[in-house]
Amino acid sequence: MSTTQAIEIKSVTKSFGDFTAVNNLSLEVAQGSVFGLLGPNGAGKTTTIRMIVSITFPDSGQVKIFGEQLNPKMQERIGYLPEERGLYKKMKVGEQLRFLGGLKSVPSSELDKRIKHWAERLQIADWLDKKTEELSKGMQQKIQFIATVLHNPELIILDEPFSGLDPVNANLLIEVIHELKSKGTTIILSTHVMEQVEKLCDDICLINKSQKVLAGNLKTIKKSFASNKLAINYEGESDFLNNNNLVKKIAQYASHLEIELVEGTDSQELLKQIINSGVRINRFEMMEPSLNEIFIRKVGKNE
Amino acid sequence: MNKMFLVIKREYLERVLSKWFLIGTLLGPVLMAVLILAPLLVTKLDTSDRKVTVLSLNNDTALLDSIEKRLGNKKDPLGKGKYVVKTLAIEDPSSLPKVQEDLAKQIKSGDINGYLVIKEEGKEHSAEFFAENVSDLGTIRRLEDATSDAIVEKRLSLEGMDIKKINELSKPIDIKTKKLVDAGTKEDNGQSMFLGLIMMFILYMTMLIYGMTVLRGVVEEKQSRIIEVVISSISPLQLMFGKILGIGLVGLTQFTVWSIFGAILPTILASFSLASGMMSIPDIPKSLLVYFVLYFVLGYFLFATLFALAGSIVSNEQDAQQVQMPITMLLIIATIFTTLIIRDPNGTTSIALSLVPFFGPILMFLRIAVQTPPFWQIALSLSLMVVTIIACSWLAAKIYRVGILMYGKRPNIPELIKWLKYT
Repeated sequence: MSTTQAIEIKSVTKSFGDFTAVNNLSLEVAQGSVFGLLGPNGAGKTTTIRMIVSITFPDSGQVKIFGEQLNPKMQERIGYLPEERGLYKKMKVGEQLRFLGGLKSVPSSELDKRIKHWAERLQIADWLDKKTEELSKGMQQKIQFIATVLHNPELIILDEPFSGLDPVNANLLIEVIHELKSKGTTIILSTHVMEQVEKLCDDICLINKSQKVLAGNLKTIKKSFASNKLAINYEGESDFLNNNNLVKKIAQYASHLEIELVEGTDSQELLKQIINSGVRINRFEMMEPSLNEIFIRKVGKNE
Repeated sequence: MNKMFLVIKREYLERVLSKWFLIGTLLGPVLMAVLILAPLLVTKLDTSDRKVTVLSLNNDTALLDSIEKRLGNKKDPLGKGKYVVKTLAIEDPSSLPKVQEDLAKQIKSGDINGYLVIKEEGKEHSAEFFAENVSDLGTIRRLEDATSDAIVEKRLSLEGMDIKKINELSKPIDIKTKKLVDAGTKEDNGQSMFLGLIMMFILYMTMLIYGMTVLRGVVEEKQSRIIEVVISSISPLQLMFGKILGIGLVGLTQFTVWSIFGAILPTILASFSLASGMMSIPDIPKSLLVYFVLYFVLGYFLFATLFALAGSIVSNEQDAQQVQMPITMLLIIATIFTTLIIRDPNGTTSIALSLVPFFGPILMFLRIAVQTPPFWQIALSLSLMVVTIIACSWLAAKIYRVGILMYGKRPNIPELIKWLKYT
């Protein structure tokens, strides 16, 4: 595989009238990676995605996909599952997939084979002859996902793909995403569910108020956010925590105690204190910040 | 192009295969035919005689005979029955109540349908008809005609005039109308106007119905949120024009079915032995058919682009109802001028109005049907329409591609103008 990036966005700006949806945004998505595009509602994620799939076009700046300038032909190499998605209600599921696949120039000889394959993979093969309006929301979501991948795109963009799916189906979808990734497909995932991002994404970009606030490798980012949170389990009296000037906040959970340290405190200080107080320690663990916390910290700060 | 074909195919098949298309296309003409034929068939079934007793309070047997001669045994023109007339000359008017009682009994038992009492006072005559059913206007009209004719004849003869001579001299005449056409003249009793109006009405209805179908289609795609998926595969323009063309083809399909039906209708009528003079279907001139299709195609395209534009700027059915109004008004306004066109098809106002692109499919078509205008006017009307279509398509395309992704509040005009500048 060449070293060209799947997506290169350079200083792209897009406004609608007085409203700037995306402001001087630059980002790169490595080929074959799973990329998380994150941000609060109205941050400019959808506009960014729409520019990648040639639905709207930037006012200024450059968008390159697989090293090429944006062009309508490119749409056939991209699969896009929008957040606001629907289907033709009156059409039969099979016809619908044939139509949407046809729009992506899948040869009709291939279409039926692929529809069958995917319908079986996502366990909806029995529904192909049903009218779409008879399907539940989760079922429709699977159909929409199939329509997204039917033309074997090299780049797949999934906007909130898990909303409306039960845990079983959500896991099925995660499996499929892993499969696609292992075949070299580049995947952009836009979601508010940070747990999914942590499970799936290699790199992320966090957008807030039409600007990039954070980008890079997920693991690196998490490390760079020094943690001041501890999880402890102990046996004995909890007196040592009373009026402790090292501790900022305590949260009691069923299985453990979560402690937030005062800024600049060495956790070893606390450990010494606890041992000296005669309490028996079973667990003493520095907690990595969750992406959720990073998200809230970064976005909250900008408010 | 290939992708646009897929859109056309989808739009076309979805509608042609729907049960509404089947009902509208197949049952529509059948219903129309039934509406025309049913009353005829029903009157054919009515074989009962009209039994009437005519009374003269002045013992005027001559008048009674005269009435019976005019009416008795005559066939009813609508039904299959005939008039059975009995006469009763009354010498003593004071016996009338008793006679009436008796006649009322006969009506009750069904021996007669009713009775007519004629009274003469001085030179004035009056008549009263008694029956259980006084809504059978046809029968009453026949009675009235026969009675007045008889009375007028009696009065004239009293003045010493020769009845035969009077009948000869007072014979009315019919004006036969002949339409001047290129090939000479042909008889035309208002058929060309009637035909023109019917075809114009079909144009009006179909442009409206199929235009609204485009609007509904656009709103549906927005509402169901399929739109974003589709335009990530195909340009909004291809989608919009694919939709317009697909739905337009549905309209043409409907016309084809209808013309086949129209072509075999006379045969059907003949098999019911109903193809009498009043039912003859006028021959539609070939050129008129060509103009019909031409004006449908252009008119539909013109209005469909506007309806697509309207559909793209709203997010729900209620708003759609509102934005379609101005477009529908254009069509309605055109129909207001039809009487003017029929009265004076070549007047300056008619010419000017029929050249307005939005009125062309209604008014210029009607002019062609009533009194074919000079060819340059038709050509000018068609060219103006093509230019307007191009302008409207450009406008609709600009708005559509922005509008389909906008949800929520309906934009106002200044906002729409801003949309035109979006890339």
